[in-house]
Amino acid sequence: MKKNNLPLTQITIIIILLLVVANIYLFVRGMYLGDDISRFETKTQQLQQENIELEKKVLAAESLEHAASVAATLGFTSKSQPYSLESLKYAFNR
Amino acid sequence: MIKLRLLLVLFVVGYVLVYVKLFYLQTFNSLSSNANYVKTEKIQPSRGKISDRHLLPLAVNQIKYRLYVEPKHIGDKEQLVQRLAPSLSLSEASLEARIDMSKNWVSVAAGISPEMRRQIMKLKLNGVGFGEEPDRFYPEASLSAHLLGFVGKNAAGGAVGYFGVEGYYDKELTGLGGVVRSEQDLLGRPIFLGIQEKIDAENGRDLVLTIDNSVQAIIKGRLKNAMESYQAQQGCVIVVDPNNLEVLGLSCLPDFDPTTYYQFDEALYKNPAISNLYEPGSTFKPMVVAAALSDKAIKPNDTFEEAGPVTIGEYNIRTWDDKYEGKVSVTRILEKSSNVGMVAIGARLGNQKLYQALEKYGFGSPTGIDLQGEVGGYLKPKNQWYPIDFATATFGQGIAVTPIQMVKAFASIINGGNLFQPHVVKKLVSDHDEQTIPVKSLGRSVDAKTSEIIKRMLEATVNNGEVHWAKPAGYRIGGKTGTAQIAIKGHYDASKTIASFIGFVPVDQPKFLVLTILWEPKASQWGSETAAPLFFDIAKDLIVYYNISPDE
Repeated sequence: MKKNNLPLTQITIIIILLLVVANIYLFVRGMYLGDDISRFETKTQQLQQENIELEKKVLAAESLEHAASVAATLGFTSKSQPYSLESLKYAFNR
Repeated sequence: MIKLRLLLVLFVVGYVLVYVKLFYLQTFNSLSSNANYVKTEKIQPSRGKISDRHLLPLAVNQIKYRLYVEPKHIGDKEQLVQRLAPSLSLSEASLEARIDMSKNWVSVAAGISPEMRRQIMKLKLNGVGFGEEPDRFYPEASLSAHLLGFVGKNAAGGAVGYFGVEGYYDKELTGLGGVVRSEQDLLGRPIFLGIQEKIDAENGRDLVLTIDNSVQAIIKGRLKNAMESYQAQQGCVIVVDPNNLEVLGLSCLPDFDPTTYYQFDEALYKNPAISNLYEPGSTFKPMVVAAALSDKAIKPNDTFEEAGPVTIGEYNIRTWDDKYEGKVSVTRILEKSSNVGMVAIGARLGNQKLYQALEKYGFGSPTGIDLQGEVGGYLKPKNQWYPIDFATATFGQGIAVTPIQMVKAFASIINGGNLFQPHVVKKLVSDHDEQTIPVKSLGRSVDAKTSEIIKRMLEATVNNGEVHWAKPAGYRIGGKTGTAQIAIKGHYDASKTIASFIGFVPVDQPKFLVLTILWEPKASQWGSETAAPLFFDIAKDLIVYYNISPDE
């Protein structure tokens, strides 16, 4: 009886030791993952903020209001009426 | 074997020590006894964006910051104030007054831009932090101010849309907030094996409008020039597709910049196109003629006697120029805008049917346009109408309508008789689906034959009117001028008018309908000399923009 119990006891102890090691390993990995998640969350938030800022700049530069303001600064003429509407005879060769 | 047992005992003892320490930390330690390991945070949804029909952005999100101070951590208050005040463009005295040292947290300034935040962070000040505050940015500034509205704050400090589509579709644009419950350690790091629950936020839906940014730019530019030329107090231009009442452009002046709405007078937030009542004057006449034709009360070739002023009770109704032509046709009544002729047509139609026609056109009720702030106008109950009221209603005086009601009714008489609900939003787009807003039909105002007849009459009105306008050659255009006196304290002030013109191009299959209104123009009180030229300027631009080929 005693001889049969010895290998069983040894196996149990070894399993417990392995589980303890695995527990410690997982716990420490979990801590590092938590660190990584925090870092990635902060980074993602930063990128989202940068993205919104850049989008705003692009849209402001693309807007008609900006184009009109730059055109006014550069002295673009507003007299660009297509005269063909008043002188259709030229288009129709009358 | 003994060694293994010894190792086991060592591990067990180690574990017991760890558990004892944990017990001590969680139960007796003052730091951890105050700690709340499960943090619950709300996830703010992004507000939906708004774009025009070609997906050009009209309203997007931007981030602003709220600067706060933790008085317990700032150290030297005077030094902080000295270093911070210049960056915030505040006096040191007013900044110092805001920082209450007895508090744990004090909000100092809001609306800080990202650039300013970066500058302040470079100062490396203790006890100073930033909270993110979502904000709205309108790339085209005031171009579509009344259409869009703006995003302000409610009593609780939350973001709320006011006026325009921001107000009308506030719920759809806001979305639904999410929640994250996360078990974190004392340093704020998530405990991976602890509670980690998340309900994602549902971002607000994006709106695609029926508005065309280019049309908006055209009409606003022309309206601005007209307001300056004719020295008008206020002006509005509405452009719609008469076949489905999609609003292609809507601009009223004076307006405001939605990004900095708080710098403008609150009176400017109201959209005159949907909230202002006015007496339409002669632009109303085609509606009455169409109702009479549709009811078969008159025929297109009928003639009426225009011998002189008409007396209704104690009132005399005259033509605008006090000139009378004797026998006049229905078309001629519209061409010369004869009030006397209109009274005769109204008499043939009958008071009962005239009133019914007004109700059928939708006057007295809101159109249902999807903009916040619409008023329905007022149609007196029929039993309160006097004979003079029925007479003056035939030429658009004595009744109050909104510009959008005029557009809705007028569109119906030139599109085959179909009444549609005007609308500004074409689609709602979310991450998962796209919902198109269907065109809403509200029945018929007149029959299709009447619509064709009235279009020809309105074309004749433009061609043979009292004033010859600079209309684009080769194009068939229909329309009607209006000059309504303004009622002040029960009397009409002859020096103050509302000048308007409503027209459409081309006559056969109208591509667009434009209403121009100028309140109290000083240069001339007549619609034919102010609102009409504005219409033709806009029409020329839109003909080019839409590439409409000439009819002749």
